[in-house]
Amino acid sequence: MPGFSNRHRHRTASLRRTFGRWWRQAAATAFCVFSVSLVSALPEKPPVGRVELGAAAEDADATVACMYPMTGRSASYGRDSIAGIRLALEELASDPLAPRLRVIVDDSRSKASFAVRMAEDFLHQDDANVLCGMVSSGVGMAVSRLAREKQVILVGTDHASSRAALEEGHDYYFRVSSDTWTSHAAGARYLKDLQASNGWRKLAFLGPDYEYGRVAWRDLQQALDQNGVSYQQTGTYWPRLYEPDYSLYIQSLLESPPDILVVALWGGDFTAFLEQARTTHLFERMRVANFDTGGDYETLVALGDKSPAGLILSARHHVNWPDTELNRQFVERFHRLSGRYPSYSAQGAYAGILAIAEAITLAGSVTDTRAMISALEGLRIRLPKDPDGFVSYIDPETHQIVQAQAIGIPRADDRFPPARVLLGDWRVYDAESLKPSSALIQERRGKPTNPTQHPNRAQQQSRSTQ
Amino acid sequence: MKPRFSLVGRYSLLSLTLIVGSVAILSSLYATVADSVTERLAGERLEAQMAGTANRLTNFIENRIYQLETLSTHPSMPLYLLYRDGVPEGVRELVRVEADSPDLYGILFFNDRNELTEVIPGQAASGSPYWDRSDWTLAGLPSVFLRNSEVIGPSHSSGAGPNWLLIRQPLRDTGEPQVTGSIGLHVRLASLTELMRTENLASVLRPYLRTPAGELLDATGNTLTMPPQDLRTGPEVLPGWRIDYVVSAGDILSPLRSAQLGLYTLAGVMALGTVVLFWALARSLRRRVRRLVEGAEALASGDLHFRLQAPRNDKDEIDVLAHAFNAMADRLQDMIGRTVQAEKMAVLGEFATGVAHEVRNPLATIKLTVQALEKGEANDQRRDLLVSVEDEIDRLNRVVGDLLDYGRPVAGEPQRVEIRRVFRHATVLTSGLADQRQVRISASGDSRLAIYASPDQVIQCLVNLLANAIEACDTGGVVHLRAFRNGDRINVDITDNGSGMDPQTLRQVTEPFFTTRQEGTGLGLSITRQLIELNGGELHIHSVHGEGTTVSVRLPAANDDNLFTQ
Repeated sequence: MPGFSNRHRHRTASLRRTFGRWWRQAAATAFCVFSVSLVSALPEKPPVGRVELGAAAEDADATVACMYPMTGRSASYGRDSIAGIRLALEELASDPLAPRLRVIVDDSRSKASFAVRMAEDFLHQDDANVLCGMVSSGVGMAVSRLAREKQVILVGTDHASSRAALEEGHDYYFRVSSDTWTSHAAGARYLKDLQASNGWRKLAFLGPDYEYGRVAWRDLQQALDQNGVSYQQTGTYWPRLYEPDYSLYIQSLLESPPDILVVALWGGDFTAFLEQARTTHLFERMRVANFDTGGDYETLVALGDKSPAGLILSARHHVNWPDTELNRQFVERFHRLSGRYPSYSAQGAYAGILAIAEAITLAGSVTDTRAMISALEGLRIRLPKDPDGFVSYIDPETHQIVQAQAIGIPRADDRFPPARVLLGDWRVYDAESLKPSSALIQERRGKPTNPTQHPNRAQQQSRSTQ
Repeated sequence: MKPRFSLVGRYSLLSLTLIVGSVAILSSLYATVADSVTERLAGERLEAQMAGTANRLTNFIENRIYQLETLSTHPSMPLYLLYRDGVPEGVRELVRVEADSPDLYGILFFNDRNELTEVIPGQAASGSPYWDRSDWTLAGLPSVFLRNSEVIGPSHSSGAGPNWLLIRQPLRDTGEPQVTGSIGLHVRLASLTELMRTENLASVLRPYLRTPAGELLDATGNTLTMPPQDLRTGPEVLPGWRIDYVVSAGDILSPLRSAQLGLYTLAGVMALGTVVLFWALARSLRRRVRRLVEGAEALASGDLHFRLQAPRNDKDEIDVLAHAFNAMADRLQDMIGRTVQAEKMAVLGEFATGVAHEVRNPLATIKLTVQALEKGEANDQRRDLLVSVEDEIDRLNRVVGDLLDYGRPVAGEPQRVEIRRVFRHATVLTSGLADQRQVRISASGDSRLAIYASPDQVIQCLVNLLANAIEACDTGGVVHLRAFRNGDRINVDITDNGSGMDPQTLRQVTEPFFTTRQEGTGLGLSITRQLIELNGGELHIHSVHGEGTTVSVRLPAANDDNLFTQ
């Protein structure tokens, strides 16, 4: 605390003649020192606002600027992402050959305008070399457009809209967490198997009314079509993000109940939906699936002692899958560091920092953007999510990380308290089989809008609208 | 005779009437209350509810228009159409922040040819027109005007995504250079329709938003493919936009209706149960009463042996009545038996006296004559015949004597008689017959027992009973005498292991002139019973056909009382 020490010296000099006052100041100093020590010994408090981690600005080989929500319903994602970044920085610190990273994290507040402005400030004021993070797909894609415009590498760690890597993909955008396509491609295969066993016919979708939900629904439809699953669509429901009350939608679902309800709500939204749905007969009338985020550790904690019947869940990382040494170590280290078990966002942020560091090592310098892009394209990186025999890698064509996906159902399991249920009865879908086909990539990228063209500059391509 | 209308039937009818009447009254009361509830829920508060809902929707549009006016009148806004890079950063920030409203997908700019030229995505932006404008068009969408604002939509997403509407205003004319265009808020339609949420009356009132195109949207913003039944027209929100609604009081009243149905079902079951119960009761009661009637009729027709079956302990009034009936029949049978016996005895006594008078004297004369002839008869063969005649005269004389004894019984002088003396006399007197029939007689009991009766008559009775027992036995049979005290009575049992009697014979065996032997007069047992009763005793016979017979004689024991009163 250099600032505090200077002030202390100044005050003791000016008050030297008065012993009593000197004594009080000394006591205050001791108290402050003791308080600082005490605070550092207490469990970590949730960070609010800007946080700087890793190397100091003058020592850093690169500055990575990340944006996560630290307030509101999705604050826990930012909290766990920061803990994941700390774990990654710990690993890098123990490797003398690894680049020294300075990581700045600030609160995106889940607002695109706020995050875009923040990213601009990172670039202009903090000289950030790489952008990272973002939980909300809307925010992620807004910052992605900025990255494209500013020709700065953006490594997405948590937002999942597949549009970001397909239609909107560009040279500077990479993502190291699985996207809506991966999870829903696995989900479609799960539903296909389920249809073969129980003959379900009617399907409904409920997702947040923003980029992520809309793309998740489109991905699910395309994946179901690819797998030849025939179904009757009974409804699509679009509550707003952070909707506090789902009763309207639950009532509508109960009035025209599907056999399968695929939900793409995440975090506190999904928990709130489950809590409200549990008070009705919804789970008796239909099976509820959430293939992308539903198996998040915090959601499992919120399920309490007993999960509603018929839930089918997955997430981008699980504390109990895969049962590999690397995943066990990651979960245990995270627990030692933070006193809790990680949600999937932690693994994404952890992967993001490690991938950036590895790319800098391969490129030689973070300022050589082209070399960085080349290093990231096809970068292989072993992550906690990888089952034995597989190493995650970034697909050079889509810049999307390729990973396996496991889908399970909640089972009583108290190995990771306070969760009383964890996913089990896994069905694992290997990474290669979940990659979007070349035809699909072409179809998705074959839209009239040029993916590299910023929509705000699309005047020349605008069509007559009326 | 079968009753025309049974008592049980009347009770059944009365109970049924009560049940049906109660249910009818309850149902009427219920219907009145239900109507009242319906009226209160769906009637009185309906208009206030609908007006509140319409106000919320109108207010939402008004707020969006107000939000839009802030932008459309901003002097820098035309720069978005004229020269985007010239838009000051502060204005861009303002537009981005406004676009980030949770109720908007974004903010759109249109040039003077109504072409979309600029899009500012908000937090909820997705798909067209933000990432891909190929599918995005305003063509064909309804449009209405509210003051200087144009409300366009709703869109037709057909399940691919949520519906939306556009609220658009012309940009303020800034003069130089001349820029004409408009700015629009791309609004989540669900943000509008969700305001139709009716918190407390969700089950009663279902509002739907009717669009200018005639579509019907539910509260989630989805288009209804089939309009609901009984749709009512509600207040207008905007020109061409109104709230239609369905009052489905049935949903909230369905538990009450179910309860009503349950009440009717319960009443039906109760009525049916009552009918079945009373039918079963009537059947049981009729059967039991019929038995009573049969008993009374049997008694009336002279069958004094008819008795009703009744449990040992009375269960109900019918059992009490059956027991009373049986007691009455017992007493009646006893009384009639005694009366008949008395009359019979009176007739028999008169008859016997007459017969004795008319037969005995001639018999005595005949006997003397036969004896005289017998003495004078030298021919042995004829003398034997006369002896036979004399024997028959003696037998006839005995019969007459028995008849006289039975018809005019004379009570003996009661005195203390030791039972062993009676046993000894009787066994001695019958020993000859026993020897002849090779039947063994044994006796047991307390030798100190003594009875209070006429010794001669008791001995006569016991000899009579012993003789009957010996004759009932086959060769080698056993007759056993046993005496024991039973309170103030002495019981004397004469038991043989002879042929016994069937029930019919047993019932008639004490009747006068009833005999199963050819040489018998049929008066021995009758006289015995008569003598025992004259001595204050009772005679009972228990016999099992093929196993033997026990005759129990119960006589007063000799004690201080009867000896003193003597």
